[in-house]
Amino acid sequence: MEPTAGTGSELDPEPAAGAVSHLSSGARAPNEAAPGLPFERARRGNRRRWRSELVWYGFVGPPFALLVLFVLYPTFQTFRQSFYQQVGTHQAFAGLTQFRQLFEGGDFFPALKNTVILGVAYLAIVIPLAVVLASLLNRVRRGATPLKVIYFMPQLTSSVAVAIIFYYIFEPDWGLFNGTLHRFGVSSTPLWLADPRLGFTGSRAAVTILAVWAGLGYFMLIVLAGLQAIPIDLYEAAAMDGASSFLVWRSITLPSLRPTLVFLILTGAFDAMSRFGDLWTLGGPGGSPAGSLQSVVVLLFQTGFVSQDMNEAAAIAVVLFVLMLFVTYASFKTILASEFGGRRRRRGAK
Amino acid sequence: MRRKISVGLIAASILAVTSVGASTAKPNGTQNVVKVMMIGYPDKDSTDPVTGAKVPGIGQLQSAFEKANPSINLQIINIPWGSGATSYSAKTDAMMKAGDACLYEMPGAQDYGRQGQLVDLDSFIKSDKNFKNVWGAELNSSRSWGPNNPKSLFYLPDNTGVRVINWDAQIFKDYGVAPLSLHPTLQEIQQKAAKLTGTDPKTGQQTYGYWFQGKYAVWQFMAIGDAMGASWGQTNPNGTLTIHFNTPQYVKAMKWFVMMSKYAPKGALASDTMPDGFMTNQNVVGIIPEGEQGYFIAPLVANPGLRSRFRTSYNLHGPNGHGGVNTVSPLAMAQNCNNKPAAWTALKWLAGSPQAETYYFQAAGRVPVTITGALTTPGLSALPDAKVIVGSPQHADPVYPWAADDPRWALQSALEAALAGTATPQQALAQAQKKTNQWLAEQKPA
Repeated sequence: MEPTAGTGSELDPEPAAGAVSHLSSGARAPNEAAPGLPFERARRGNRRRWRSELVWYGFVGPPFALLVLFVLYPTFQTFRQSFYQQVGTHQAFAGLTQFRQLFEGGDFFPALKNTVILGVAYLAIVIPLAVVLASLLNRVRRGATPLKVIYFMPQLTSSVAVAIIFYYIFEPDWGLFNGTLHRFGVSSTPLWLADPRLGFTGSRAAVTILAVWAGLGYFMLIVLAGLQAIPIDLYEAAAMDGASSFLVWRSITLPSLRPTLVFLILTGAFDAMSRFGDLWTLGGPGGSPAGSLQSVVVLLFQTGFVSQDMNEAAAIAVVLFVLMLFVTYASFKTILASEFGGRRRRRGAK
Repeated sequence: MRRKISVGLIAASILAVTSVGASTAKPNGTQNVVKVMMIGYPDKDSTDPVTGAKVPGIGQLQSAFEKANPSINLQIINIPWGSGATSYSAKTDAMMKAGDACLYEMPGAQDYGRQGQLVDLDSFIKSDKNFKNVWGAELNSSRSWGPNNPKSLFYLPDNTGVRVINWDAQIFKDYGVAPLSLHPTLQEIQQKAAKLTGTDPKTGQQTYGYWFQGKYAVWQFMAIGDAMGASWGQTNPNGTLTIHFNTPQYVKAMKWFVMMSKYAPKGALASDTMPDGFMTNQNVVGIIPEGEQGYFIAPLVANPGLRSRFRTSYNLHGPNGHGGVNTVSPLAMAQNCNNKPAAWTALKWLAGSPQAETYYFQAAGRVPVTITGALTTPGLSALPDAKVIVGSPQHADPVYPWAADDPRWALQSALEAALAGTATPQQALAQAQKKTNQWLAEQKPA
């Protein structure tokens, strides 16, 4: 009996033809059930589903191939290279030698310390500032869109270009900042990029100001989106109860912003750990002055592309990968667990 | 059926494209081709936007070579300096492995020579009856350790940068200080820098007696160390290095440098260039060591009015007459070159001919490295201190084999810490030596 038209899937080009040829030959394989039996119908259905899914695998295939070629394979090679060392013109297996040299050398831990300091300083300034500015922007009725564009524009600018401009601002002798102070009669001006000390006017402070200027717009827009997602009836209820502005902000706005702030802290932490462009432009190899601007990725780049030691650079990359994995895992188990656990409880209560 | 036809068409197209590519590629050795990789020259003729001078493209060098050597087909592969993964060193590495060229302009020639990837040119010099050493003492400074000879000659210098001491004669005159001598000593520089720091009696401006490029202070430090009789170490017979930064002479040199930094503008540590206003009438620094050719030669050539104000003296040097970093540009021959005789002819011409030297000066401001170099560059020979400029490379130290490696960065960081006052000179050098020792411990004999 021939199947009627349309019994097959729309994506299956030839279900009927296969069935017709099967019927017309009249022959069956030894383990083949007779046509029309449930087993045979199920097999035909599976084949049709598989053929229909093939199309989607065809779409996913090329991007996956590119992912393998440009992400997974280089990652695998990086891990592999970290266990080798260059001997003459060839590579020789070295076990954990690169890691031992990395930890015993004098550069990795100072670079890690710089990375943490710069990251913590950056987030400690940019997040509160973004919350305040977003709260103000949330109340603006006219001109909100142009303001959003203006605040976001630094985010679209190349970090190298921004760093070059900030060099002209923070240059200690003729830069814009100190030059303006001189005009106002201030003789003792900060050293900024010439001062490796940890302080409010050293090189690290200068790059933190740069990072806050560049990243503020992005953080602000995310917080603004979080603010605008807070249900208005909460504020109305608080107004009816006579709550003060500060109480409203502390009891409604901040707790409602918690998921947004968690997101910003986590993504900001990952960005901070991979910070490179502006630090390399201003500090160069060695993180001048005196290594104060050398982050882990700057050290990685210097080791790989200046000192030409790809194996040690690979080891740095592996260690950075493990650190970020640890931070992700720790976040998942602590902040994110409490965040998602809280949501599940709230949904259950509803 | 349609599917079979389209697959067949695609396969045929691929075959056609690859066969066309293969047939036009000319391997080295056929038709007397010599390929040379050069770095950073302009691809096309242009005009310098600052000085208005004509800047010749690399094609002019090729044309000049072909006129002088019509039997050799020279193909120049001109790559940019680049950075990171696309830097010249990454491309050089890739091309060397692929055997893409015979000759390479190769800042890392010493490393490749150690690994046995370059030809020791002594073998050609011995058998070449027409060879003339037009490079003078520079040829000896170019020798480095090789697997078969600790004093191998892996390259010929084709051009060079310079390191000199520039000084502002106007500021000297304003303060009534005698001009800087041709071969200034540390004591002379110290005394005059102290006198030139203050308020200019004629202009009322704040002036400074000394300058240093903070981000490259290590080279100035090495020159100061040379002048104090210090030596960084040596290349051992097995190709490894011995490096001593933590010596009494270097501690003394660092103390001197830190003391001199008080005569420099406060922002010098953050600088990677000449002081603001250099080569203009707004200059406020009296003595500017580590003057590089790119900063002062072209402006002096283009502006005759500046020549009497901005003068040049030799860099600091040690008792052996040598001092300061060597910035020669090496031109080397790869071992896997399969047209060595023609490549040798091309190498000599590119490294030592007057036409090539004139080209390098006009295209990139690079100074001739031959003894008679001044004669080939009329713009250069017109400068009042041309003898110093052209003679300086002959007095430079041999190339430091650690110049691009961890010891350089360790020393640079240490120097910055001492100049910033966050470490004493002794502490800074001890830290630099510790990091250098760790790097040395990783060395493998070649």
